[in-house]
Amino acid sequence: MIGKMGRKGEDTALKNFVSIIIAVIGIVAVVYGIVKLSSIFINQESANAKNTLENIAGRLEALEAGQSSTFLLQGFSGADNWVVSAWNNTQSGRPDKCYFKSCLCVCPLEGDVSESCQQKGFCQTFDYTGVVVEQLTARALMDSDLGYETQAFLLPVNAAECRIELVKDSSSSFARVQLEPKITQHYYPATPIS
Amino acid sequence: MIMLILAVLGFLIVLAFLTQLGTDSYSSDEICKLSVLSRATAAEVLPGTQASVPLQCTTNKICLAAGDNGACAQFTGEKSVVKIILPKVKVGDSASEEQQALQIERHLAESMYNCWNMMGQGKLDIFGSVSKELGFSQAQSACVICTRVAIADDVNNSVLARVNTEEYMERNTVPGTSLTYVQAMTDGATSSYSDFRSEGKGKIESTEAVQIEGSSQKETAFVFMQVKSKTIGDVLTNQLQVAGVVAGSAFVAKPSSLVSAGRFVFTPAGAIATAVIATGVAGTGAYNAWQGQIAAAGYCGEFVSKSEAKQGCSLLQAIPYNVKDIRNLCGTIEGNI
Repeated sequence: MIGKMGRKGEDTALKNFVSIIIAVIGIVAVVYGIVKLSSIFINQESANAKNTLENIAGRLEALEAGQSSTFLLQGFSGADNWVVSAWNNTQSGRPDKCYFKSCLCVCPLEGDVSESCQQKGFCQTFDYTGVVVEQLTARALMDSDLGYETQAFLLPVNAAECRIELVKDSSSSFARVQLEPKITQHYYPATPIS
Repeated sequence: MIMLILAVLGFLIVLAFLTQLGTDSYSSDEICKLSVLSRATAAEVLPGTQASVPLQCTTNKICLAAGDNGACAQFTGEKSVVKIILPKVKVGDSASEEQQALQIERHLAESMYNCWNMMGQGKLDIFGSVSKELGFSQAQSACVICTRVAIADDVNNSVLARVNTEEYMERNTVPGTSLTYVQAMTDGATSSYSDFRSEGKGKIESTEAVQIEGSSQKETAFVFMQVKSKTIGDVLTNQLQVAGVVAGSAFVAKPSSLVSAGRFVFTPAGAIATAVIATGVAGTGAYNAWQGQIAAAGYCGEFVSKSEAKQGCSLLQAIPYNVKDIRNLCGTIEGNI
């Protein structure tokens, strides 16, 4: 009698043990799956942001001095979590990854733009003395909104017109990137390119 | 116990498939198609998980050039551009021009058909139940830009003037099938483009006028758009009457009808249905002929979905790749650049 009850108890314990093991495997698999899926999602957004920067940079590099070009900046899901910003080669507070050059960056919209660009953003350096990013739409984030000196502009979720221009005179050269047509012009005095 | 084991095994199989996404094991079109199916079925299996499945569709970039030296300025600075050299044209030889035009038609038709197929022929609910989580309302349209086709500067305008994709799709069969492109895209329901010009059959209250304009660039984007709403039914019925097609079936639209008065199109802002102003397409001659290749295929009716709002429309439209036209059609864009 006692032996039968003991065997029954052992069976029940074994079943419970197997159930617990399977449940643990299941939970681990589900957690792994969620992490994997979210990483695919995050990587996709990040890859699109990087591609956006490369598209702009690629077109800038194809320009000769004095030339300009207009093209469509294709949006993507989560684009409004990213900003585009730029620094000239003498500007303070630049991301370290820009080294001593002018740079154009696409970075996550979080906290200090320079810090965000350094930590999680993508930057492309140029030999121009300056790179200017401008925009004139309701979506523009101005200095005061961000609380920092750097101007940064949201990427579009559907499409935006991007105009690029390479300005060069005897003493300096800079690239101007306009995400929407803008009337006013900026001038960035800078040291000449050797 | 057995159910639990099967569930875990099933999950691991799905996971194994998902981890394969993004690897070189599949072509980009296959990855896109699988991700579309995964997203559409995710909501069926586990409601609320649709947004967790990323749409892995990358915009294909095709440059059609007449020779090795031909270049598509439209793709300057962009990566992964596929350049296709068209058959040579002899000066003044109409037969060779016709041959080159035929190849352009073939690539445009294939781009359109492939996009339609990848997107589940418009019948799958791809964006609907994720719309709020992705930051846009249900009535707003969402798009995937499947392919951008650009014409290189060395392709003659006289060749472009001969391009007639609409006719090509009505007459030629999809490789490996006995159906023409038009039949294949409409489940064999029709073999020619619907005539949207029969005005007055149905009436849609126009809320906003949209103007489709030509572009200075010879670049066409094949854009898949989907819009869904709980109260879309009545509007759909009217629209389908105008189009002369049956609710719940796929249709194709004459390119010319897109620039004629009374044609109804979708807008990103308000559910659907706004009249297109008949201002025509900018430019003349060969340029007009190229711009005339604005074809559309669609499906309006119930989606395969468990969500409350089942009705909606899917539209695959070839439009000039410019900001205005993209914005007119798409509230938001998904997929990879």
